Amino acid sequence: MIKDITIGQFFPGKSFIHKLDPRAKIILTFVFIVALFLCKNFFSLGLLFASALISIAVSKISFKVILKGLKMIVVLVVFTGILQIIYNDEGTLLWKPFQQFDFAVTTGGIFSAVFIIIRIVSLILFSSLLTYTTSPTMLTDAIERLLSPLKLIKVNVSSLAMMMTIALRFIPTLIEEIDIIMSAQKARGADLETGSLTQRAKALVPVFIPLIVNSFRRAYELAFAMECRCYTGDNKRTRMKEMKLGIRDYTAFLIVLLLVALVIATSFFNISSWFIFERVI
Amino acid sequence: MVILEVKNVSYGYSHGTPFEITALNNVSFSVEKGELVGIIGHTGSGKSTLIKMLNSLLKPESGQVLLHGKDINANKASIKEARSKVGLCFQYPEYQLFEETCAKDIAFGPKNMGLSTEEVKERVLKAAEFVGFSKELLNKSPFDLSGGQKRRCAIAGVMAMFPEVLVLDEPTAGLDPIGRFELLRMIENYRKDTGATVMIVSHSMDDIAKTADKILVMNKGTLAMCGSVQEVFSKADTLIEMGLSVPTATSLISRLRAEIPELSPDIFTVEAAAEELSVYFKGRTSK
Repeated sequence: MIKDITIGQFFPGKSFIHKLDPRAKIILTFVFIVALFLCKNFFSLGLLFASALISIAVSKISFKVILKGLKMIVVLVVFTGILQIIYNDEGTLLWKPFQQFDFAVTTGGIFSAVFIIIRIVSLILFSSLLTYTTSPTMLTDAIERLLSPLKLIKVNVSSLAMMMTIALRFIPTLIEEIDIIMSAQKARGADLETGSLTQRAKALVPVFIPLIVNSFRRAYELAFAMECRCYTGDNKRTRMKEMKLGIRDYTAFLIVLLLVALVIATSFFNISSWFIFERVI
Repeated sequence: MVILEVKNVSYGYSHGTPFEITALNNVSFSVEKGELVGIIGHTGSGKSTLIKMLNSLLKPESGQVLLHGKDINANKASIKEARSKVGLCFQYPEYQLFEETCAKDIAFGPKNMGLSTEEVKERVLKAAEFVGFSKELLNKSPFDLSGGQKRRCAIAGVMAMFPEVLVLDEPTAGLDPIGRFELLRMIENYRKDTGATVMIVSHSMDDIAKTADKILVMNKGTLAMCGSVQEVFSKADTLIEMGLSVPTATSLISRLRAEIPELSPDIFTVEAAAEELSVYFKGRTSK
């Protein structure tokens, strides 16, 4: 069911990761993702993958939830894996099923497939960990702060942040509403699950028309309510909760810095040859 | 004759997350043909989950729902049958209208049942009659109607399927007193005309006292009480403990009884209270 989507959901908790400053978390996630793309060998990639797993363990979010989130990208992962095997002809030849086609499974292909898969999985792990451990309000607050230098070039950052907050705020509401409308139309005998693709697309009309109409209604009501409270998008607002970087955040920065240094060292300065791990790409 | 039977049904949401809730816990009851059943309960007591079970929109995690003695979740055909025989009308149904005209929207249900064009047309007219819709209104866009008219249009959309069991989740919420009165009368008309069973979820004890033959009281996912209007509303203390209340007339009479012990405790509607008081005052003046 539509409610079972876990990507982007927030799981409240009190772990080290939950308590990190959201700004620090966003920056660290970003750094991790960049580092993932800098990786050139299994050693550095394994290091990052392991740190993703360790961070999840520290956050105390159950692996069941994480696996459920990963289920969504299984198709993508398998598809990229297959493409890698097809298009990479390096290394020794393992299997060539059709003589007339230029298709062959090679060690290089398999290595790069595994490499890409671990990379995508780690990417999803890190980014979902961010949303699993940070409430949407904290997240938008942090983004607003991080973008605040843009005010210098006359970008209305607080309006942007407000739009984001509203959008995030209404995701669960809309999901709930889709659920209600789908139930209501199903109760009237609408068949939303079977039939050809076009039939199913057509069956969604009775769901999406009310959804869109209701969204407009909500938007008008919300705008009206905000105006009644004299909201102007003015950016001279003070905060109820001030964000402050603490020793915890600096520790996290330090750990990540070390990891990135290791990744760069092994990927670009051939230090990997000190270890038994082979260069793949 | 028992038409619908709920047997030991349990259900929970969001298993495996911190938001896990047990919405229904071992609920059992049965509903007779032609009965009007009122369902009351505090917010979050499991009423909405319960009614979704009745036409297989949700499947019980344990237990069964039987329609005419047959499990509705047995196979695809039985689910389809349950969807057409148990008509479900959710809270604020006016937000689910989608067609260009009211007539087309009301026709959505019967059309999905695979009826012929003529029969669909006939049913639309009949349903429109139940809710007091003129031909003129039928050809209007549902988005141009007033709130009360939209509500009636949506309810007609469910009635047009002629369900044997009509289930309505707070049909009168947000309506003015006249609108509420009219809507309840329309539902009553439907029941009398088709002999159908009606189940109404409501927060208005007055509406329930006035219309229901039987009341189900839900509390924290369990069925706390099940009985006649008198059986349920005579237990005022238990109801108040569950965050519910008794009908206005009942609480008025019970306060008057402190002064006038001769009054009957079994007063649940305004009409009955008026009758009881006039009898009492006539008796006093004649003395």
